[in-house]
Amino acid sequence: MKKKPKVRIVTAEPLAEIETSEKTFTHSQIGVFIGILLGIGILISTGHTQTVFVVFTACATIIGLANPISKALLMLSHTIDSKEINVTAEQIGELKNENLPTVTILAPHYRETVAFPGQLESITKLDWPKEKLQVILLVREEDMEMLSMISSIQLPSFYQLVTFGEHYPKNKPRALMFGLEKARGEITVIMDSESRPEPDQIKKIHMAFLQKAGTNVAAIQAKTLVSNDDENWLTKHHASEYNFHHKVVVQTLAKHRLLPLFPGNSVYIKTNVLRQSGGLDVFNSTEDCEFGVRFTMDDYEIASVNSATWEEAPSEIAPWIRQRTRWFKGFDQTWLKYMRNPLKTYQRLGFKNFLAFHVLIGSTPLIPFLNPIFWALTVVYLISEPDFIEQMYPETLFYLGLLSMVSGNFLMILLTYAGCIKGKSDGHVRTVLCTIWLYWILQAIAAWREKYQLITRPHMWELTPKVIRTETEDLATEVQERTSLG
Amino acid sequence: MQANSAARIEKRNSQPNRFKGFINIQIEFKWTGDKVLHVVILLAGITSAASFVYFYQEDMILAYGDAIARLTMSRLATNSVNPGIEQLIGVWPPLPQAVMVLLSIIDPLYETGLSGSLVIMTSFVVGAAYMYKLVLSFTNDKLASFIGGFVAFSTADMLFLQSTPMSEVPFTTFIVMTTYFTRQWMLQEDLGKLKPLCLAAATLAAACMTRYEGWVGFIPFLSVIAITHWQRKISYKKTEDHLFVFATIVGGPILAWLILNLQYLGDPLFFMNSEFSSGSIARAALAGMNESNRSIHNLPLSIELYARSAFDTVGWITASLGIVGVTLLFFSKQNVAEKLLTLCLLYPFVFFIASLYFGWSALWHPDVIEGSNWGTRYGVLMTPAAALGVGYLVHKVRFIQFPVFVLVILSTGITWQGGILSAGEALQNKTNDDARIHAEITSFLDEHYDRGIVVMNRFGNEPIFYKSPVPLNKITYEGVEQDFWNQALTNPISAHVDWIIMRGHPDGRRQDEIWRTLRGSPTLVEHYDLVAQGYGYEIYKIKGTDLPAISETHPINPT
Repeated sequence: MKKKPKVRIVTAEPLAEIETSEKTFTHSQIGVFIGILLGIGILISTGHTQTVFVVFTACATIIGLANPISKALLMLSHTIDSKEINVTAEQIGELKNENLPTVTILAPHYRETVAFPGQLESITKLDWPKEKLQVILLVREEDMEMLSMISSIQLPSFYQLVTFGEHYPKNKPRALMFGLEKARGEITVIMDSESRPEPDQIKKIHMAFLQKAGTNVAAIQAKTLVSNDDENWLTKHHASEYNFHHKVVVQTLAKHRLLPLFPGNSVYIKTNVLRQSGGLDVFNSTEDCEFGVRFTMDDYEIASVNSATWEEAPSEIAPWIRQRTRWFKGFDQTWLKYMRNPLKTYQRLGFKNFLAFHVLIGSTPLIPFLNPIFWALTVVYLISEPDFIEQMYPETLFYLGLLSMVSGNFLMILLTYAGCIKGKSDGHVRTVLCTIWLYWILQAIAAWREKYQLITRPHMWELTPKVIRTETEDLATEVQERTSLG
Repeated sequence: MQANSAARIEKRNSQPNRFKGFINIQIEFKWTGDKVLHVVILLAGITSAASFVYFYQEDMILAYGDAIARLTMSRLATNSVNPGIEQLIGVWPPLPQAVMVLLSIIDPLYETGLSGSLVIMTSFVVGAAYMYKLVLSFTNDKLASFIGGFVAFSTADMLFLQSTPMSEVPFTTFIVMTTYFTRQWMLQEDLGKLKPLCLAAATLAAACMTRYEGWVGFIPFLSVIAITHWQRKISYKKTEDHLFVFATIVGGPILAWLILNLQYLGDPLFFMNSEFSSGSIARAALAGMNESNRSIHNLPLSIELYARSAFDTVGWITASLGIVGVTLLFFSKQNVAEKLLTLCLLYPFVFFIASLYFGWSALWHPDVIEGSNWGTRYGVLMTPAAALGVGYLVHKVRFIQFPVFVLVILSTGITWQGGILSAGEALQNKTNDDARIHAEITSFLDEHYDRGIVVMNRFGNEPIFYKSPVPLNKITYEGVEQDFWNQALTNPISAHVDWIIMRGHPDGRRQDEIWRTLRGSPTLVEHYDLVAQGYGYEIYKIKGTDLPAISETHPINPT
């Protein structure tokens, strides 16, 4: 078997040693899993099949209800009072360049020549003194396409190209760790190739940090929103999810000092905190989500500011499923990692965050995984009413299940509506109502695919091909033409 | 596209608000801080409790057969052969009974009827509070809102109905809340803030799950919302989004209810199609009436019947003042949508007239059809419109505030003194032939029943369920599991049935399912003795068991 080459990361400040998701399952977790399977086997063989069904259904029902209810509560809390920091143009105008800190942007790219020009333009337009901006362009040595494009253009002086060779795992967090090694800014932000921050974003972030000085706030987030929401039904759903997540969930979690679901792209983190916390878990498919847990464990807090980063959502089914598979895998890896020692996690997170950890991270990939099982059971029951299904549902459980199905689905539809209403475009509600069942099926496919990958290829990083359909297409064509000429 | 989007948003945000000044009144309410509102809640609570005590002493709390039926349903949900949600599924929407379940599990509350009344009384207090807030939103005048919202809302009929486990008062409350939240939404500069609209939809959904009249309310409220968008020149797409949100919140529970009806009763429209539906009952009632007294296809009579009921239940003085007030409001400077919203409170008027005209329901007013006032309580649904009208009138014509205050109280006093129409209807329920026969059967069972399973239809026999000594979990009725019910009907011996109570007449009138299936069957003749009969009821008891024998057939023959 070929040995996986590893690269040691060296940063200006020593990184704290962290446990990673390199091992998806620990021996004890496998032991518990086998123990559960054995227990189920014993119960079934001794005629307690109904008990197994009952416990399974009860757990699934509770999980299925907890997630939409928690989101509905977040929505309710959000409507009562939103705690987003509102930075005005006047406040920005008062800032003096000489007092501004250096900011590092980590920009990983892999075969993203289409998206790169747009990002270059977007970063160049940022209203921030360029001498206090460090953009670290992270490119693999093998990515000749990207390197060729970069070499053909004159990169601005605040850009720094970092290339790296063979490494394992071959993924974004690993690339980011190479970047973190070189970061010299006080604040670090990750920007994917398709990210388009609003020009005054960093100034707003800086103002927000100033307002929160003396507190535990170590990260400020801007909203990540979808620019191509009008493209088709899939992007409408994706945009609705993003709107709800970034405009409601993320803000309200911050308001209640709950475990943040780091949205990756638009989070500006104090670089020293990022390093002291051990940087990113390079084996995790959602390194941002994982970092959020550690961030909370270290008693740091996050706040939101009134700025947005726009990005394009996958508009085709295959890339969407690949992206969602990766997200689900990362959530599962995070959950499994922190459940290696649940007691320790509980002690470090506290009750409230421990609950949020299960409901928001643990249940997210689990619900779409379980859904097809219950859809199938419902269809079979409605067609032939077999006895074994009736046995699965004692009276109380039946009502809980019914409540879960009806109210859970109803809530999810309403929350999707909320996302649509909060979006930049109108007229999406009808489309999402008509296609929500299809979206749930896609989520289920991604969840089942993810479980398979989690076992067979836990560290595989599936790329989501960027098909930039905005004005950057022209820019991309222009740069590509120059590249080919060059 | 990125830049275009940003530019579009910026353009939209930078547009001057063309609707500033369009909105007449901008009021922010807080539950805390409005002392008059606190007074309204306190007075409504005291009035509610005092009315309950009075009608309890008069033994009127469970005078309505429907009140007993609702209470019994709520109890059966936890105490029957098949406890569960299916006990709440039937001809009535489930919300009032579902809430009553929580209290009906407590024996003293169930036995006194308080488990039902407490729910309805609470809805009355909430209704008064929101009525006050609704009038305030139109007038910004706390005294006028107090007079309209509390004094005019607390009519004699409302006070009686709020003491009984009936659905008219909670329905009225939900419609008032829907109107209030819709208005709050309309008053916003940015119609995109949907919290009030969602609350309006949620309360309308609750109204739909309280009475079927709520389903019709969907049309006027949706129309008002659409017209408001059109008036404010909101884009079609945004309008469509908002209408979908509203429709989904209202329609979701309705859809769920239809599915539950299909699942448990085999017909999503059971409440319309079954022999127990109000339509079937109305048709049966109309069939036995003189042609001249039938409201079906008789528009003048339909209008007269409902209008008289509305005037009598609201009180003639209050209703007249209300009409003046609503007319003033309608010709005021309010915009079209706001005027139409006022009319939303009047939609039950149109609905009931249509319902009478098409024969979906029946209503007998004593001044029109001598000796009966069946269904006249529906007039009480006009109370919120009258209350709003009274409030608006005293706001506009300030010098008549005190006289109107006195007149409205006088109206309630006169109605109370002259005989509360809905209480009269309830009294008829309590003293009619059915009630007497139920009392006879209950008395018979009191004397002879000591144990065993009883088969009896629930529909029409709820008072026996409620008052007889037979434990509810010993009764097999049409609401238990279908297989078990069929077994009890076709082979009662195998279902361990000891008692069979059936209703019907040999000439085919009022025969229940048990009568139609079992009477005269070999099983019945072979295994059961007829132990009591009369007035269309027969009671059978199993032969040859250790249950005490009844030596002769008892007559059930009330005079």
